[in-house]
Amino acid sequence: MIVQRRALGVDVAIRVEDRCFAATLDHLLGDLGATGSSSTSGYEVTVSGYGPWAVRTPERVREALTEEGALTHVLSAVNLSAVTDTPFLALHAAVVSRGGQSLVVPARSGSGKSTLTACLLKQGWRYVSDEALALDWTTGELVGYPRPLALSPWSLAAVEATGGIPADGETLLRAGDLGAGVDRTPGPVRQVVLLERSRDEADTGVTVVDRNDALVELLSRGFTHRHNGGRALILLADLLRRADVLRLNLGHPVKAAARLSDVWEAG
Amino acid sequence: MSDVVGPPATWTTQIEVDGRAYVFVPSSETFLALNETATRVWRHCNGTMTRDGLVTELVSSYGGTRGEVSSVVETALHLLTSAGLLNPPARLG
Repeated sequence: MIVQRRALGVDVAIRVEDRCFAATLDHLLGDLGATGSSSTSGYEVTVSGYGPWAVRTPERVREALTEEGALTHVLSAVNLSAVTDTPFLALHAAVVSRGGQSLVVPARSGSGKSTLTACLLKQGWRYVSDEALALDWTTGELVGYPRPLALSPWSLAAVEATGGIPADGETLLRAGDLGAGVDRTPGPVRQVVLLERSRDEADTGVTVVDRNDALVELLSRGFTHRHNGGRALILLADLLRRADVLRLNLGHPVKAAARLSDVWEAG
Repeated sequence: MSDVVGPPATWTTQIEVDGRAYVFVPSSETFLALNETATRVWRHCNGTMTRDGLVTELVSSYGGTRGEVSSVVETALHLLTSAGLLNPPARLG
């Protein structure tokens, strides 16, 4: 069975021997767009075996003794290909939308942005991505990349989410598992939120900060910005001129998401 | 001190956000964020302004003594030239 998806403009074909495993992948990647053709050009992953599994990519072969491990290998490979080979300007950030406008949270892995994203989705926001702010190089329009969210046990408990599919040390969730819809063609960015870790869980203060802080943060989180650095500067400057830039003390993620929602509605 | 400053290297792409300039350097694939002082100097590096003229302009706009501003300008020009953002200065006369 072949699971085909388009991830950040990259056509991905995953050939899977185990039909049960294929069905799981097909479900988890259901929010990504279809390739719309039978073409297998692009990035190819092959998963052979029924346990243990061998996950073969153009880069290497990885073995997994558990289905959870195999899922992690496949999704990591697909994500790496997406953010590396994407034809868009892609930067490491979470993106959600509401009312036709978008909120962007640029941040590194492990900063809490996926947990914050999950909380925002539970509070009525639509899912764009927990991985990449992607912009069309020509028009500057946003492109969705709604890959599954991976939450740690702590995050899952904090978000009070149920369901999902277990992977290595994490639970994989689609937006629908959090009661949210997906926005594959999000509107323009209205707010950029910079995260600051707070030791005090009650401290979820939001302050207005300089746009320069946001530009430096975005440039330090780029995946493909160096492909055409001059154009990247122009697109990001244009984005920031139209957006408010906030700094959020990320205390408890549910409270932080509620605070962001309040600020958004008040704005 | 009658050197002309700049012009910027032809390949530079620059933008300004809230008073600070950013430049992409294709040869090293790096982004340079200029501070406010360097941005003020950078704005005047057009290939026709002299160092004396630049100091006069900045003293007039932002205050300070000629000695203070001249020192700042020299430092900024050195950094901009070292980063390859300016063509070598031409000498008048």
